[in-house]
Amino acid sequence: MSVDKGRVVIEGIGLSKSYGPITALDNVDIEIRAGEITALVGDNGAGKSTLIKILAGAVAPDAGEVRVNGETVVLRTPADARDLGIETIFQDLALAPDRDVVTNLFLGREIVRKGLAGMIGMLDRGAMEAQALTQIDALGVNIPRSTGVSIGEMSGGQQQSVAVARGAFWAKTGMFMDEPTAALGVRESSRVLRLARQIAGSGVAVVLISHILPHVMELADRVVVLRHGQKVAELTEDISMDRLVTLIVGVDAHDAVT
Amino acid sequence: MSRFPRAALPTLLALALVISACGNGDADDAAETTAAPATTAAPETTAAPETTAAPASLLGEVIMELPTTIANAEQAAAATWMLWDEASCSFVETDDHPDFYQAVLRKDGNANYRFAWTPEDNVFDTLIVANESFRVAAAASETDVTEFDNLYPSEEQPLVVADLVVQHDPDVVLSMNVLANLNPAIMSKYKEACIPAVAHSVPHEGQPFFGGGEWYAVGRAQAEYLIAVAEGRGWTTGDVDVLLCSHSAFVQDRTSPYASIIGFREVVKESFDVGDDNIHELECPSDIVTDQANVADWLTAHPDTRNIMGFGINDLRTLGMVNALRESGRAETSIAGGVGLSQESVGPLCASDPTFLTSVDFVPQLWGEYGIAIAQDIAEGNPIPSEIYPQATVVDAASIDQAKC
Amino acid sequence: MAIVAIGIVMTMVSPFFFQAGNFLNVARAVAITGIVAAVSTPMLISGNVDLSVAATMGISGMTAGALLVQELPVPVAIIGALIVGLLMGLVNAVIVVKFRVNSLIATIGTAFIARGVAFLVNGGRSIFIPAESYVALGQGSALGIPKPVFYTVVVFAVIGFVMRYTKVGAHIYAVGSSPEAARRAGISVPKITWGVFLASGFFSALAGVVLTSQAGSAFPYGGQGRELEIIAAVIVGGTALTGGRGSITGTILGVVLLGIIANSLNLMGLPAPYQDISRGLLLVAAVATDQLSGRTLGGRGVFRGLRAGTEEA
Ligand SMILES: Nc1ncnc2c1ncn2[C@@H]1O[C@H](COP(=O)(O)OP(=O)(O)OP(=O)(O)O)[C@@H](O)[C@H]1O
Ligand SMILES: [Mg+2]
Repeated sequence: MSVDKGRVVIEGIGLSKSYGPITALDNVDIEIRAGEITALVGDNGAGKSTLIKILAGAVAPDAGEVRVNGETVVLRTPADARDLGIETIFQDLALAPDRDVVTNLFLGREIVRKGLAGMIGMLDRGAMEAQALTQIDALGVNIPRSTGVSIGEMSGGQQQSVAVARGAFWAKTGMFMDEPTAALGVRESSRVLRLARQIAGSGVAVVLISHILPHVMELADRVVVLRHGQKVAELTEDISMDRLVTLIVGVDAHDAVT
Repeated sequence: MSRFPRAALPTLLALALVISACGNGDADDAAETTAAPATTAAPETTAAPETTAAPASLLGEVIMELPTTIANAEQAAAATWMLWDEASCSFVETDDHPDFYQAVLRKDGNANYRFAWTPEDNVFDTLIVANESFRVAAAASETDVTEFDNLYPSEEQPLVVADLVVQHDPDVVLSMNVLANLNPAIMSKYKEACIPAVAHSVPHEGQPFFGGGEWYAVGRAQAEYLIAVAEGRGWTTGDVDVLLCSHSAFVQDRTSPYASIIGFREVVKESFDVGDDNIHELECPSDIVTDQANVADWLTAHPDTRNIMGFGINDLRTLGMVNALRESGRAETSIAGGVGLSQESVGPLCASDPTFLTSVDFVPQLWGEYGIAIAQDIAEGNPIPSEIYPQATVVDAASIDQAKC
Repeated sequence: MAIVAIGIVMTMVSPFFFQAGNFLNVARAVAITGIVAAVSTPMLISGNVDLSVAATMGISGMTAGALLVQELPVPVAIIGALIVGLLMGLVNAVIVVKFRVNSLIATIGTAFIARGVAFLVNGGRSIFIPAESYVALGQGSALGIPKPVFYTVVVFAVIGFVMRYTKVGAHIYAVGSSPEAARRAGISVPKITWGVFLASGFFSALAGVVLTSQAGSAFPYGGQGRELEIIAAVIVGGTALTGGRGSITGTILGVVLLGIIANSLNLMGLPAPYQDISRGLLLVAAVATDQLSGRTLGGRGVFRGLRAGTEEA
């Protein structure tokens, strides 16, 4: 769809991270491409979340570097990544449960009024509501239109949709989704995955962490497999269930490395 | 970041040290400037008592004579007198006593007495003054006085203190413990150790009692003062309501400050014929502004009240009451009195406030002088009354020590 | 709702309740608590609690008194008191943000310290305030309304505006609702924490100034015991102790409701213990209905009227 499809926009080179004696990530290289969905798979504790957190600025690597659009960047906070157009939907969503959809969509990036009112930080609630509704409609997600309903009162799927909608709204370069369907039913899962496809379609580089291999195989343009903190494979074709399982659990590991 | 809490500890300790150092500094300064505060006591009798200083005494020269409420022969005859009997380790009653009692503070001389004072705490307004007075009096009389803080409201500390005092083994202990339930245990420790103990604040059977203020008498004195003013203004019983600002936290008996309310109530009934329906006791939690609010609400609910005679259990509450009376436009038709001669009454009295007319000075600034003098009498084997109160004085705009203004 | 109900009952019970003069009594009585309750609302919404507010009132009031006794000008005394309040906020913020001490514990600690220092200011004695112009700020009325009420209204308006209409307010809600979510959204949780504590210190000091000017005396235990009353008012007004939810409108209603109850019981001549009992019952009832029905019914319980204010976005 996008002209840029396939261009490497986010790169991790030689990324390592240890937590005390545990090596969460061990010298991992990764390239993430615009317009593609890159799936990140691996057993529990393989280092998937750690890798994404490093690329999103939530965790500082012990070694290695991150490049965005070819330039080395130092991501001190998630805000640094966000300034580069990189959005993350964390495993635990990171929504404010007592606030409504509009507030959450603009959390930390509120629109203020023009002129003097803006200088004292007065919110432009109207503009935020209008843009939020436009975004919700564009994504076709099923969340209550009425403002004032707090997120905490919505279903898990609706909350997930809000998180995805927020990511999609702000993502210009990349969007990382850490197990976005973990807590969802079948219908809601497929809705969220359709969103991921839609977002990639707009030229954003999407990274999807999931344990549900059918989803991975159906959606991903590329699959990166991590095991014990190391990257053990990167597949673009011949992605079969058996192959993935073997790679993930490490049985017959020598044959598996490509 | 995880190391920060450890770093916090030394910082806080340092802070605490700085603060306590400052505190001590202040106290020392005060000690130098508040010596010889004899002016407020206004004694009726100044003659030195003939019988108190026994000839064999090793004590030195007289420093100060302090009048008590046993100021004449009639009062002396009505009182029970006692003296310390070393053999039985107890106080025994005696009829052989002087015509009146005043506490006489003397230099320690060659007596080398050691006394202990166990105040309730070191934070309450009155006690800060009183503890300071002990230090001043100890220094002036060159007497060895050790202070043991009961850390009110601790339920354990008074017992710990009693053990410490027993260890210390003074000639006399002045035991100020306000938790009545602990008193028997404390007193029996002293009795076992054969240390004569003077009870302060809470009386104890068989021991002399040194009351800081004779609350009951204070209340009566204030009522008498205000009735005189009311009569001077031509008020009659029928058009006066009495407002009492008290607090439910006080034990309602004769040994607590609540006794001032009892005394005040009795006098307005006896001498001014005010009926119970016209005596109103309000809850004043002692936050001036809350006291004011409660009195304001009462005034709203009693719009027909003509003249008001007000009395607060202490000056703070009286000030709150007076604020309410003024704000409701009743400054000219109300009179009020307080207790303590603290800043809340000194200010209005110095400014000749039209409503806040009087307070009572029960001289906590002299409790140390009284306490040490009483202890000296006990150590010397002199008879003392079983209840000793400093002579409190009613103070008004005319009589207030202008130096306080 | 609750207020109207009590109003109707009281009008029947006491002929003095429904009178302009009595409403002014209530307004004056709650003015000081109101100032601190106002600033305690963003504090609780941010997920923190400041129990040193009452001690701050005490120490700042003593500061003002001490400066006035030195015959310094009234504005200097007020600014001095406010600076002490800011310092309290600063110390609290440092302990909470830098040392990561839970705010409840931190402020219990600083409350003790501040109360102690307040006692040291004048050797435990109170200070009668000599400056008439200072006392005139808190005593008497203007336009027929007790002066302290004006300050309270302004404080409520300012804090209410910030909480409802500004970015800072939105961030305070977000931090209280989920500090992690706020952090990841690029909101500086420490900055918000600093802000609420400095504001709390500042406005508590202001309350201390109003308290001492209304009383005409600065006393070291000024404000003592009010912290619980203040938090009770905020919580009765629908603010969650756990953070994220609440509103200034709710707090105003909570403060007024508690004020009316105290006033009503005073008018009826009921003794103090009943006031404590009814205050306690109200608090427990408010929180219990919130627990029982809050989540399922969208935060609406028996105290619907009160809680309406909390439904704002
Ligand atoms: N903050 C942390 N402190 C200590 N150890 C951590 C931390 N975060 C991750 N780890 C450890 O690092 C390793 C990798 O964790 P990570 O969360 O990246 O795995 P994952 O592949 O995302 O697993 P899952 O599928 O369970 O989410 C694990 O052993 C984990 O316990
Ligand atoms: Mg993970």
